[in-house]
Amino acid sequence: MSDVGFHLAFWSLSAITIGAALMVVVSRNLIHAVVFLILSFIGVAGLYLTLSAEFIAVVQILIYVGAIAVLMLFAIMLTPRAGRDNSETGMRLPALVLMGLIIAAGTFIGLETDWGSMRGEAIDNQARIIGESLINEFVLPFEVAAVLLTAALVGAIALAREDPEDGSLHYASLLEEGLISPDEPSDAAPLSGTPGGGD
Amino acid sequence: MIPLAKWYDLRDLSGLSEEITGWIGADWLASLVSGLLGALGVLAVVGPTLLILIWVERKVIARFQQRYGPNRVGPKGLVQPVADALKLVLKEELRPRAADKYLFLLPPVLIFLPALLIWGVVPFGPNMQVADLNVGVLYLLAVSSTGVIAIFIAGWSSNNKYALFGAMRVVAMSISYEVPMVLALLTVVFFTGTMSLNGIVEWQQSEDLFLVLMLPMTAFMFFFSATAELNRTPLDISEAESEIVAGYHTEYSGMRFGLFYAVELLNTLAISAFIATFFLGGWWLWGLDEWVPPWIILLAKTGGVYFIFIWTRGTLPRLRIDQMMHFCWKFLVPVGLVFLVAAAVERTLLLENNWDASIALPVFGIINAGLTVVAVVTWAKLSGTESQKLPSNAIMARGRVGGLRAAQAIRVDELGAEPVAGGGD
Amino acid sequence: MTLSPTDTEFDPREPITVNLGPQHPSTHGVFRLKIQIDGEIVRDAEMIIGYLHRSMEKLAEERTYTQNIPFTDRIDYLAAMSNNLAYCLSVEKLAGVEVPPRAQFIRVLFAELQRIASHAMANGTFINDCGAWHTPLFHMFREREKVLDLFEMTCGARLTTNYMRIGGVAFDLPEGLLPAVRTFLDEMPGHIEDYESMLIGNEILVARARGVGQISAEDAVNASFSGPVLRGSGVPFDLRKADPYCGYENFDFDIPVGRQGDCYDRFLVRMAEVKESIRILNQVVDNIPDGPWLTDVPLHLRPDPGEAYARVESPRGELGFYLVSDGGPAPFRFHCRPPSLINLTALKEMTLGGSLADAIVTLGSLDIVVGEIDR
Repeated sequence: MSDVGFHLAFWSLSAITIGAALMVVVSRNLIHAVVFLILSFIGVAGLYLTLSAEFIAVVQILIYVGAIAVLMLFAIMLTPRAGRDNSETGMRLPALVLMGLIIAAGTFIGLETDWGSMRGEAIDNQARIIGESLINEFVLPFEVAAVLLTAALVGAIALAREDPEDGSLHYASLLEEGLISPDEPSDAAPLSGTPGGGD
Repeated sequence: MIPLAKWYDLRDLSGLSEEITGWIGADWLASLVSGLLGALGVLAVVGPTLLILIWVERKVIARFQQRYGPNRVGPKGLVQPVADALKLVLKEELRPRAADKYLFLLPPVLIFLPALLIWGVVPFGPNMQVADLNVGVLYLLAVSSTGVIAIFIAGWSSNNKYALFGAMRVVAMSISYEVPMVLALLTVVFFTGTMSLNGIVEWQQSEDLFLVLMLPMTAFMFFFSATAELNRTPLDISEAESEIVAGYHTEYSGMRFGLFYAVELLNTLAISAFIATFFLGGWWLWGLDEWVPPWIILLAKTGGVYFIFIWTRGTLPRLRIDQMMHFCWKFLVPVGLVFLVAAAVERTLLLENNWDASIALPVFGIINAGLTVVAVVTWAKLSGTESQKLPSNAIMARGRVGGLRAAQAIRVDELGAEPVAGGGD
Repeated sequence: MTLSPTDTEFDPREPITVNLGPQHPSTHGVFRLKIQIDGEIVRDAEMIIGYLHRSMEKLAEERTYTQNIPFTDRIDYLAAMSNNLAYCLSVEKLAGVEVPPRAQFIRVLFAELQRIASHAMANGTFINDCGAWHTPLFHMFREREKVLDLFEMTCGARLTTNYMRIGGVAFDLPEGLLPAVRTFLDEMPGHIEDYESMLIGNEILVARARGVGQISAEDAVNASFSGPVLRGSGVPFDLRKADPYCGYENFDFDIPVGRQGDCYDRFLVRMAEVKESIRILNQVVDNIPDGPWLTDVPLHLRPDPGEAYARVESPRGELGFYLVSDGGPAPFRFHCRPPSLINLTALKEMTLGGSLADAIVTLGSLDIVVGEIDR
């Protein structure tokens, strides 16, 4: 573990992660912030890889970059006035003070805790162990999380769904709206003087 | 197995990097160098293959359309892709003035990264992979889902509302079709019991069959979702200039556009390699891989799958986006779940009861084929649209000519509609 | 409030105006359509025409009747023979000129060949608009090329043929033409079977075109539609039967009509019309008489003052020419009734409530030629 390679990887990945996180906070454009956030996610995935937790690393990319970042981009895009400069706020001084306190507290806790030592070797069949523990020990949180996600999904659809009469691509509703006439012959009297001198 | 002479024996290049890096002392440096060598090797194979495949695609599509295709530049048009690349490089690269300065330059680069990264897990031979990850399948899914971000940023940074709409539609389609893709791959993983791509090929080798025979619907699901992810016909709304007024790569010109185009082809080639690996046995071909270098076998299978991609592109018209979504969420996802459960059940039965694989697997294959037929027929009955049930030929107005009254007479006779009581003059 | 792309504030909940054209890969010419879409649904459609106005009607007033024939080629450049025919019929009506029987048969021959070529292009581009990446288009172009080769054999030009004259046709049929036509007619049914097996009942095509751009028979008649668009709505009105000209009453053919007036019906009607054209062509080739092919008409024809309107069934609909003569060598008024323009007037009704993709498909199925819209 005290390899040159490991140190190289760890320090460069940490620099990327923390630098990107810093840029998230500092950048003025909201989309720039999201792009830097994606970079920090990738950095975290790299840090997982240095701990040989390859399953978690790949899942981090899949979920955070592939789903959550896309969600954030959609949210920004669908919000009006998203291109505004988000640094104009009067709360700067209180925010700085609060952050200073949190950093101090975190540093103190981090230095004072007895972290214990990690296992020295890598786990081979991570997916199996994670899967088994999700089903055996942590089945209740797993199911609760699933129900929560389903509830969010159903709620989002219920909120965002348009009224079916409010414009649709189906023939039936176009019929109701009167935009097209039905297939049956109508009761309206045919025109006098049909083109071509009639039949 | 014929004994291999030396590392330059083309049948097995896997020992090559060990030979070359054997003298490097530090472990990490050796693995770094061997990784780089592997990557260079993959690029060396993939790059020229890409150029040749551009030519193949254009020629094959032309033949589908009863014409010749490029045949002026070079013998039989073989230099055409090089000419195209040269043209794109020499073009002026415009940037809209109001476009975001750095974000505009990012998407072509960002979309190239996944296209190259997924080649890292393709197994070219028994020991020939850049990285034989234990979670290879998951790595494939993770890396290919990052391409979506690049499309989004491309649409946003163009400062063009239509490009943004185009990007939104493409992103919505891409993330929708990731779900059936994941379900299909998960079914494969359940069935073979391993997430490593080399492991899947070795499972097919040990059971002596191609996975497409066991999981036909899954193969179709993966193929179709891949078509959506690659933005190819029949699901290529991102390139349908006749439908959306602009696409996410409208404002890109020159080699930046060239990168988008190259990435689409590179991704198609990669997905063809993955279909060949998962469902068609990869580098294994019933023992032929001891005589012929296994990577040639894989490339041949990749070419075959790529031909099927070209075939669907040249033949099928484009689906509308709501029809695409309907098909994804209301057919592919439920059927994918059904097959996931079926694969899990079959694998559990096989393992727990220790059945003889050579009898159980064909039975499972027949059951899966039956499930496929049932699924398709059920879906057709339940949600086949009304329009398909109408007859498909024009009515011949036998000798009748005229206006509305003649039209109504035809309706009464041919369609059995009710005659209008007491129509006008 | 509708937004355009130059607005800096962009609220995705408002409908936006999309401008299709005038340069656009699928608007069949320089045609501009402003569509207001709300998400995916079309709320309003406004068309702006005039990008191809060449003031033909004014220019025709300064040229003699014979000199105007090349003009008519370019009004509807995809059906030049039909244009020529309509104009010559109108002048012959105005001046009272008789056309010899052989010339009438030759005119019918070329009008029907032109119909096949034009419908090949119309259906091919329609499927192109449905997104089929040119494959059916190129297949149908194969047949169109053969027809254009026959035209070139006869009059030297493929597209702007300038073949009909007042009182007949310009040249007699060359020696190899009738055998070439017979060969073409023998091959065509096989090709049409290929197309039918590929396209009719193709699920994706049906899904794209069924129920799209629908217009009922009453609305179609009220809007003065003509041609395959009218027949697609179920109204069996074809000028070749209703108001026969040029000897069509002697030929035996049927009129195909559709059922519900959507894009798929128009597509089917055009495919069936090609088969009926082949039927007519077989009868023409078997029965063509010998004799003169052009009545002797003075070079500067001076018809008596009066007016005349003659119409033909062009591949797009009722194409008519209205001529007013004041006794001079040039027409006093030359007006063309363009079927594409009249068919376009109900575009808004047909596209409302559908999606933008459906609007494109509808526009493709109407088979417009901007040359005759703008003249």
